Amino acid sequence: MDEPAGPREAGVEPGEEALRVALAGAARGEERAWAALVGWYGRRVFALARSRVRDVDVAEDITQSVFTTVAAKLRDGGYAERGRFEAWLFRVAMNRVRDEVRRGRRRAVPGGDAVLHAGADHDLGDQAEQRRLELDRLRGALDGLGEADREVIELRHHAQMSFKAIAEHLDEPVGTVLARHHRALKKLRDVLQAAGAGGAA
Amino acid sequence: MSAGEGTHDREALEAAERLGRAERGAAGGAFEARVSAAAADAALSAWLDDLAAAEAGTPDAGFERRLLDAVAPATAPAPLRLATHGRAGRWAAAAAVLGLVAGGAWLAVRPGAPPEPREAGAALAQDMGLLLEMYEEPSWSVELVDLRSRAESVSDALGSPWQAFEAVSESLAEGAL
Repeated sequence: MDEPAGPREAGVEPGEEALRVALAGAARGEERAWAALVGWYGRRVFALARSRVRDVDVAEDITQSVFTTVAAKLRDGGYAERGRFEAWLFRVAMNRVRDEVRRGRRRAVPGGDAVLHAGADHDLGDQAEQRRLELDRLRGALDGLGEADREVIELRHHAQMSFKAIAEHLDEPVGTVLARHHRALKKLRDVLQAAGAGGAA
Repeated sequence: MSAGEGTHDREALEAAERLGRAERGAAGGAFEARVSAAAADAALSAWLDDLAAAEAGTPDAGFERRLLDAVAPATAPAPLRLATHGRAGRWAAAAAVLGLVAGGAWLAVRPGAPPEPREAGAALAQDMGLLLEMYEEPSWSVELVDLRSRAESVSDALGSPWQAFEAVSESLAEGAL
């Protein structure tokens, strides 16, 4: 297969025509088309999965499972939502993530990242260490949100979906999604303030 | 204009100014609150984007390669799809289906078509009956017994199965049996 996009190029939003061409090629099993899809969406799906399961290996397993499902559907003509690939992809991803969480295979616990990084503390500068701690606080605050609030935040920020794509994903008007996102941010801010970390918000 | 009217106007003007200041203050407060909320949303959104970027950047550089390798088996065309892939493949598949249908129809209606299974079974039973009748026919049995007795007598005389076989063969060649 062609060399896929690296982390720096990953996640770049494809144009409508580029995506259409890539999907047609992917349905025919073309390697270049798959390299493009993986470059555009691979790490976004991973970030969404990791936000829930925390464990890097499990998140990567989920990502591979999602793309394998997508590949089979594209090959067999099971993808019929023209123009809504992003919403469809992340619907598959969210279902897969929920299945994983439901099966209780989440290995990491809140704050687990602090444990993972504890051995490398001496290698980190103060600024990097501070950033890591803030991100851990934010992860912990996300755990304090309800499913609906958390979902809209993760779709927007981790999956980097547009509000239009989120509206398609959730089958709701864009205005409703905007309001949901605003309310979710407010609740997240409340959780952070309650945890004594509101100053960063 | 009387002094009272002037006082009244001044008081009215002062009241209007107070009301105006209050309204502007209220409006300004709401605006500032909205600006503050938007700024807080933007700040929190930026923080969440930072977190998402950190999550996405977690895997090593081989992440995409492993993902492509995992997907590769699922991208291979299925055998049936391979046979019907592309315009030529679809035409070939359609022609094959039409050929099967036409061939089946021709076999069903062609002259001299093989008998139905029930008829074939009856014919076979009839043939078996004839064979049994032939086997049980008296002349056939007499000939077998006669041949066997002759062979045994020759064999006894010569004392060798092989020689007895030769003798029987000669007898057969001579039309003795």
